[in-house]
Amino acid sequence: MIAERSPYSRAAIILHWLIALLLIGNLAGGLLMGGFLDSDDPAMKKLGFQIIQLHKSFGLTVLLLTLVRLGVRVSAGFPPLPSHMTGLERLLARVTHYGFYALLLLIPLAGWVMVSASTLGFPTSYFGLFTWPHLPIPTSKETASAASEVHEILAFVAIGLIVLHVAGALKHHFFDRDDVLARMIPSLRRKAL
Amino acid sequence: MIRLALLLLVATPAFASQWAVVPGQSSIGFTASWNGDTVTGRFPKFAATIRFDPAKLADAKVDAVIDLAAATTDNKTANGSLPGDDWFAVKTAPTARFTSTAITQTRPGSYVAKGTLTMRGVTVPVTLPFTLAITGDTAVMTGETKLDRRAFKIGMDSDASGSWVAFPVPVKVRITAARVK
Repeated sequence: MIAERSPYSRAAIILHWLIALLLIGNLAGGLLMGGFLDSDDPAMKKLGFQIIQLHKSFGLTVLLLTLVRLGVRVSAGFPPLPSHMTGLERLLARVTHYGFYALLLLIPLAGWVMVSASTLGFPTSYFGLFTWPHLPIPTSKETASAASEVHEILAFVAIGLIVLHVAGALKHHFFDRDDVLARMIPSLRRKAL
Repeated sequence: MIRLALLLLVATPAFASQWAVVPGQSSIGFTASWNGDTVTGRFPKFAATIRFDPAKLADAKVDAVIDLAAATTDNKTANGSLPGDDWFAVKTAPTARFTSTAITQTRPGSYVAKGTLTMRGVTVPVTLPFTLAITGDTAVMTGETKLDRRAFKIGMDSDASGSWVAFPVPVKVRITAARVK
């Protein structure tokens, strides 16, 4: 049995997992921060505030890594879907993948708009290293709250896509017994074949 | 014309008690409480005209203009918010102004300045107790008062309940002034 190399480049695999980790972490942070911020305990409120600061840095990192990921995808291409897939399955897979790219760009951008338009004017310190600039847009409560709404709705769409994506990967691995999951987890490859 | 000359005559002796702020040795600072943490701020740019003679307190008058746009704190996050419309609103009213209405003595060396403080287009009566020591041609004054940000409608949009930024804001003034001759 030949242990083939994954059709995905090493860069694509690393970016996939790094972005996945940051996305899930930020979804968790985003869902939790409200509870901390609304707490009556100053220590909890401060923790919530610190979560926001990290959330912003992680989110901007997702934005940057997604641009790199798209660059890798465009330059190195991507492997074809397994031939056994039906038209509907193909459509579902494509919608999930392109949906992820769109969300990974739009969620951080909406967050960035929200912070930039916020009347609070809080600066964004990128992991305490430097001040990340605000977008050149006027401060406006309306813009900030609209961006906040978009940010939140898209985050829930992302949770839906993650469920779909993981379910699809597991279906490929355990039901179709193809190499789709192993493409992203090379250590699974030998066992899968 | 005669009245003007008379006014000048009457007014002239007051110049003997004019004082000029020594910038390097004078400061106006404030402390805000953010979620229990102290944020220390200062107003590095201000100007004041001071007329003060301990023997003629009825004539004493202080008029100070403080540059709000220059205000800064030891907290980067607060500095981001400070100039905004909900806080110092420097775009609409870039300065604050304190004008005394009466200065009275409470003890030797201790006084109370009553006056008004205007910022963000809101004028609020304030009382500033201070101590004063005059040595030759140099006067050193230190005073402290507590302002309530609600009175000036500061931060009411961002935090109307005071759950993050406390309402009372202590303000410390320390002025070294030289007698104008």
